[in-house]
Amino acid sequence: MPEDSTVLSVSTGYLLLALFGVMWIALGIFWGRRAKSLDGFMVAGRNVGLALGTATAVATWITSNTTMLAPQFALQLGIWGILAYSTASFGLFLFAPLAKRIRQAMPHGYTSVEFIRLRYGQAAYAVFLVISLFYGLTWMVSMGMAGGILLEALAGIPYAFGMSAILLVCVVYTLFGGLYAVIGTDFIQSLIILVGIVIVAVAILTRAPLTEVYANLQANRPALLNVLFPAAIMAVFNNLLFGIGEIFHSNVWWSRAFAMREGVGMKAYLMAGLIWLPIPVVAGFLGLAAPTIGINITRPDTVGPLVAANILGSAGGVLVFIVVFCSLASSIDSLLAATSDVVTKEIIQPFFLPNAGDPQIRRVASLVIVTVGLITWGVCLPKVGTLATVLFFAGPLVGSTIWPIIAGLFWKRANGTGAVLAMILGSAIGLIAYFQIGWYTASLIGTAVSFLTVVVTTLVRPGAFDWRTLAVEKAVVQA
Amino acid sequence: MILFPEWFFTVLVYGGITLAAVSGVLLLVLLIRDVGGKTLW
Amino acid sequence: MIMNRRLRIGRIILTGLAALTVPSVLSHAQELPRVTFHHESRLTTSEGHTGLEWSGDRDSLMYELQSAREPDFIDPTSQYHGTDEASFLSGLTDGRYFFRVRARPSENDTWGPWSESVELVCEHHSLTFAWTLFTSGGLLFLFIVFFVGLNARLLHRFERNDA
Repeated sequence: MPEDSTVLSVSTGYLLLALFGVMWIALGIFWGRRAKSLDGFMVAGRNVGLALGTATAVATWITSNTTMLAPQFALQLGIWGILAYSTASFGLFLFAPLAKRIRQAMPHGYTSVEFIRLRYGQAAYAVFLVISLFYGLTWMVSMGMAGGILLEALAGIPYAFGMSAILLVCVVYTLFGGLYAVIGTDFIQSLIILVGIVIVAVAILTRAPLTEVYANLQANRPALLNVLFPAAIMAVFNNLLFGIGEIFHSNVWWSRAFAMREGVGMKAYLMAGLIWLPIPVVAGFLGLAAPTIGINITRPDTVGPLVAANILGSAGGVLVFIVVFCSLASSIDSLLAATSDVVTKEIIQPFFLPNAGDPQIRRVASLVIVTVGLITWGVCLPKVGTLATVLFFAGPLVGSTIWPIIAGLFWKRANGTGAVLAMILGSAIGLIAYFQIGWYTASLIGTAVSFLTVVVTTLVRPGAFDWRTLAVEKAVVQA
Repeated sequence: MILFPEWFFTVLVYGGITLAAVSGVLLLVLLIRDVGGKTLW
Repeated sequence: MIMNRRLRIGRIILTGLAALTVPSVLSHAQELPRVTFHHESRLTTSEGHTGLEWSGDRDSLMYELQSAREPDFIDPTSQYHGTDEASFLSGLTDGRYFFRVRARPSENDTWGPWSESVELVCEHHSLTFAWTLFTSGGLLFLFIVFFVGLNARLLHRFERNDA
């Protein structure tokens, strides 16, 4: 058995890439018929129903990390690792009431940055914008790189080609279809992912029953079953807060809140949390079962695909390829759309085209999507290894936005000064903690500092915000 | 070292697989309801 | 007499030839594959996992990775047997672990010599520190849940203000 053989042949890989690439683009163009207006393009006409609303939240939160990192987490940190990973669903649960409030408070809103600007003023807007763009771009880059690396590992497709192909497909169908295409493809992608991992998990159980897996772990990797596993215990809430920070601040989730039909948002996010919850559990199980099946794990991050291919042969390889491609596409398209919305509405429009009408802004949005895609591609191309770790710097940054956001949405007295201080102090001190103590403290400390700052500033110098400021109808200027 | 008991592991994995399978069905049902009842978009 | 001298010269030549060729034949048989690890000989982990990587002095070798709890490999365990040149271990408890690897060209050949051994020292993080982080994180999380939950129940109060 040659050790550098890939799970799939190169020709199969290219075929699958082409097949699904064409399919997503075709759907993008089809759904793009409705994406002519700005509201259609950016927020899918504000009329997305429960099924699609739920599916898009699920699919977007399933990234290549969920399918690749969860098995690795399980292999490194055991059962606690699985539980810790699953807590990322809490971000979705907690966002549910926020989604309702957001739609209620900003019926004509487009982005999270807009909210911060209206709620807290220019200074907060600037800080929040930097955090949002940093997070959005590093997430996109990490997905792009992951795509290239995975396609190469699975099918031998050269990194540069695979990465470019994935980004190109996502840019094209997002360009044509806007949020309609993003959400529509998300639905299909989430079904494929769910079906895929259930098939692989059931197949594993037929080969390695749970008692056997448990016994094997107990004998050879006992710490993985340990309740008192220090590394895992300290990571739990750090990761949880990172996840909550990601969801609460990112326009990826806010744009969906704006897009969903009234009354749908809260239910959609609650269900999405529930549906997402088992995915890292099942994916993690793949990682834990690997030793029992007799697979030698050379690198922990490829254990997922390795197990699937081992159990199901080339069919397993095809399944993994498709699932990974879907999880990547479903996240990249969302990021493209959400980041472009922010750049278009919150940078270009106010500073360069203040009097532009919706049709013109719609065209600008298209241009921005292409530009953002190009920038991402440019950063992915050199395949700098340490880039993926840069994403972890985002932990304290996004953690520091949690309290400014929830206080901003619900607490009239929360004020701009507090928000700015909270984000800056939280980010700075969190980053210091990252380097001085360890990554497992960064989000925790960033959130804690931000929390204390918000509470103190709100109590010491309470504001008196008029909620109606958020509901301002945008001036509609027909170009 | 205190180990997670085997039954916990069993419930976790089987529960996860079942929930994932049910979710897939749920999404399809919701879609049919959305399309059947009101406009999709 | 002449025959004896020819025989003697013949034997000397043969011996000379033998002296030249036999050592190289012997050393060829001694060219058993050697294996070396890619990393330092002393590794540490505070999470109970590590990746081991090695390579032999030629291609297509079969390896055996052995582990033990004592440096003299008194009670060894065979961890892996195959052609991969890496293995990821995890779920290890506190303590010292020793690893070594050897290779052979195929199933029927003799094993080459064992590599230099690698020591892994596993010392998990302080549990107290872990629980401290866990508790503080948990509290922070609960505050968020409480705040959001409370406001979720009172969402109706915004309807009047947003008129």
